[in-house]
Amino acid sequence: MDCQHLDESYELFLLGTLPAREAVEVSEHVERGCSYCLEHLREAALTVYLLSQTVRPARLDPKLKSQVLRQVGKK
Amino acid sequence: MLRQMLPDCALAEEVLSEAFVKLGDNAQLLRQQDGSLAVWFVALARQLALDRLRRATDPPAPTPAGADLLVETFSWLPRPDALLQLEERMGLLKKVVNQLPKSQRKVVEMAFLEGCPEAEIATRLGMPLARASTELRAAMSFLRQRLRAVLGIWTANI
Repeated sequence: MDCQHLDESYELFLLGTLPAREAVEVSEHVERGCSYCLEHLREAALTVYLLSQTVRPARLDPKLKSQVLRQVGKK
Repeated sequence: MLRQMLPDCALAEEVLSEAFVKLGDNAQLLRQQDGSLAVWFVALARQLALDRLRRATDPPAPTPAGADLLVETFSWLPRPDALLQLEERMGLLKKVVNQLPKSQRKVVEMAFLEGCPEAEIATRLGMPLARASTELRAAMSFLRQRLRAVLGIWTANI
């Protein structure tokens, strides 16, 4: 499958900022298991993950951990 | 990340709790995958935060195509060893992100933290759509090339 025209699209797809027509095309390729698109999405996911690590970390309420564990435990 | 995306701490903690509950719901499926759990969890938490932001607008903003797919499927996730390699070089990679020109850094922040489509970025920054699109894509291309160089990986043409 020739997907090279999508090379610049994968990060934007993961960010949800890709124009709808292109996003639908990438989605269809993922659903079909397109190996080219999946390989490039895996690489793009590293870039997007990197961005998540560059934002300023925040301090959380220490009680949150126990609240979360209680909620997950209820399930 | 959630604290930067959402207007207050309580909401950020609520979304984080929701993300952990969804993580618990999907634990069995996730255990069977070869993909990075950390990458999926960050994508999930970001998606949940963006859902809150979209619901808060009047009228509520639409969810972009493919957003659900990323939370419900795992085939797009990088392998844990690829993430480990990235974590090991995180210090250097953060410097790379800081090398982005100011204008590109701004559009990347709007896309990442607010999920703004190119058209909204253009409107809010008072620039033509083509320029917003070019800035965002140039920034992503810069990061992609530098990431490949730092991690020593090149995606094979399949």
